[in-house]
Amino acid sequence: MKSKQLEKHLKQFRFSSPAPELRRQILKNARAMWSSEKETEKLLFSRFCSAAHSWIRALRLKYAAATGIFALLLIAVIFRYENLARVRTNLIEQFKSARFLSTEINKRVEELDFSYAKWDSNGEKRKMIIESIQKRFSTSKVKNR
Amino acid sequence: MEKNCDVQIKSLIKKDDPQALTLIYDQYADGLYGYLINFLGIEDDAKEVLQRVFLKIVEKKQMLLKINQIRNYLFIMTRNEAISYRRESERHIQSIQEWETFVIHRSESDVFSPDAVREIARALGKLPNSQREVIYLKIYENYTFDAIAKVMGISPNTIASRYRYGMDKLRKHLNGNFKNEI
Repeated sequence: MKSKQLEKHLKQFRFSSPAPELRRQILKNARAMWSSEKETEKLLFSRFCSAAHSWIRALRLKYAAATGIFALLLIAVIFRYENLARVRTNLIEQFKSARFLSTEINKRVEELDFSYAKWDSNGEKRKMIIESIQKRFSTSKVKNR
Repeated sequence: MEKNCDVQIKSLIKKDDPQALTLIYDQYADGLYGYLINFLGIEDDAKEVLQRVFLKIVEKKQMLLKINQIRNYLFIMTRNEAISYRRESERHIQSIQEWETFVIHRSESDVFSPDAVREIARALGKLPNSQREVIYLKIYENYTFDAIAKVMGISPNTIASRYRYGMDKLRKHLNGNFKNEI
């Protein structure tokens, strides 16, 4: 027997449908669950609303102080963070100014060097130094003799 | 036809109308029941699981709005329910005789003699569950191998080989005992 032939034969063998009684029973149960689900949803929603309402009332009347403290803490934390931020910006400013100073000093030194070079351009200082060394040398020679 | 029905079912669910259940039942219950008979092999269990499936449909009715093919979704749901039911009840087909009596009792055929029906039932009963499941979905529900693979959560190649092995076994059995009828 070929596969197609066997398939054809098997197709003629039918499994019966479920009994009408089963249909009625299943649909009845499922519908009951459908409507009870709707009821449950409504009930849950109303319970949620009433719980939220009482919670808000309790918060307003009984726990107002707690809420206030919490708010203060929150504000303190915010300020603290703001202070830290301020310190940080100050440090950055100082660092920047220090850098500025160092560049200033460098500039000045360069200027000084330049003026020194100008001053020594005629070789006067060098002359003075050589003279003083020669003087010392000659006096020491005389002493040795 | 099936697509129109799916559209109708979805519109009823959107309206929150329980009439959707009747439509689902009339369109799909026969196939699901046949599948359960083949999967579980015990009539009472098939009825029980079909009940559970419909309760599950109510529970997950919003999911039906999101899917393309309601039929595939229902078969997957039915299979999962049947597996969990079998695990819970720890009941399996007791014997081939039990399966035979049940299938003969619940099957219909204008073409075959009672003897032939018994032979087919016996041949189907001798198959492993997994092969019988594939053969049912392929032959009676006209599912493709890909669609069966999606329902059973395994690869189409495995499905094809299960189908081939199952058909071979059926052919062997029926060639021996059922030659005169065909």
